[in-house]
Amino acid sequence: MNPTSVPTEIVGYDQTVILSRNEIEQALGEHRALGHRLITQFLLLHLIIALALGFVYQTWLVTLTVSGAGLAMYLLSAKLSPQSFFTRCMAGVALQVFVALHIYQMHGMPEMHFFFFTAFTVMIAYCDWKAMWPGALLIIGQHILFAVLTNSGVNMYFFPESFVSFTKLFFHFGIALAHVGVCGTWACIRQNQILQDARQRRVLRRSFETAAVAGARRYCQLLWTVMLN
Amino acid sequence: MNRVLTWCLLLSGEAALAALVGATFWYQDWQYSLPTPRPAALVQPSLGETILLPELAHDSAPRRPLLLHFFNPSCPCSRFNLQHVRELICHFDKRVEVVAVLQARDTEAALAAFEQLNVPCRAIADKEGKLAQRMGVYSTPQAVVLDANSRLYYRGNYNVSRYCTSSETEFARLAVAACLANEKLPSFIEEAAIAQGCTLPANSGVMQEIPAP
Repeated sequence: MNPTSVPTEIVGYDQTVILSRNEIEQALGEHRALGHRLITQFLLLHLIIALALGFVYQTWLVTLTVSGAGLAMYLLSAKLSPQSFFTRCMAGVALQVFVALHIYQMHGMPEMHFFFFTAFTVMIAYCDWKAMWPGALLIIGQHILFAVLTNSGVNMYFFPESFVSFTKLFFHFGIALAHVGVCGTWACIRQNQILQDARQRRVLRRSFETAAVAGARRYCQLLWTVMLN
Repeated sequence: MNRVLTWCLLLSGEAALAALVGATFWYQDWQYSLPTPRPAALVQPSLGETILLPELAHDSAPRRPLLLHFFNPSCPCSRFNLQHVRELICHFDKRVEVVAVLQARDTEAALAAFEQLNVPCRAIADKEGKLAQRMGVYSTPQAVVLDANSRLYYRGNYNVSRYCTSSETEFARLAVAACLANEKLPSFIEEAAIAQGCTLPANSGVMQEIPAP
């Protein structure tokens, strides 16, 4: 038998394995810890980018305050409740705060919106599609608010146009939501793979345990027979 | 109890940080929507007054209208409309002489910084703000248009929008076009003359009027 293949009876057994809440948390825990490390590094990278962009229009007040607050939003949550869903959501929110900051720093430069895509791609590391949506909805809400303010004549830094059309927002949000959907699907696939691995590991562990008990029983029987004879 | 306390602390901390982010964006925008404080002792020459500018050393004959672009590289507002200024220079080409008047604490650095911005016009340093004072300018960015006879034709903002995206209120462009056509200055809205932007470095220690709300 190929050592990497799983015996059919085990795969068949695997279909009925239901992992407990603790087992699920344990299986996903190490991936989420990796996600935390990755997000922290990514937020620090955003901080460096924000400091570099601050030089362009000397937007130091907004740069230092918002980048500090954005980073603190995530670190506070990661410190007080590292394993919670809330922390994963705050990671998405903190990343989107930096996206909004970079757009604002560059006075609505269209290329700055691309940070939205890198932020959601890195969120796949958490293997949690639900954690992506608070950040996505927040940035969409913020875009709508700023577009309404721009259209009502307020001098905003956010859009280079004096009027933000429905068509622009439709494509803006449509493509953004499609991207979140793709990243969410990929995170969901990763999560299912991790849980499937955990189920298979449990099945293997039980099989080894069963085999060990059967072996011990057979040894005892053999010993007993020898003693009787 | 400990868990409840942790969550209370976490949620209140997050709410405070979110409020800080929102307040900073709002403050930043509010700050730039305020008019520049006017120096209390400001004397502005009225439109039509002749202003001689020997320091500019006009070399062109016959004389052309002159657009003075008051600029400070360290003023964020001055950078907002740079693209618009470039477009104006290209649009009017040789028909108008454009001179950037730089006022900054370090004029040499300001001239070097301006050169890197690729604005196709001559730049002069107004270190002590004498030229700005004569023109009645107390903010950057500001446009001053003098007609071919050195009479003050227009002094004010470029646009109501800080990026100059509002085509109806392109005050400087409309003023230069009217000046070239020998027409009367169009009647602009009040916001054209209420300077918005950064206080000139020369006026930073000067007593200022309280801006109108």
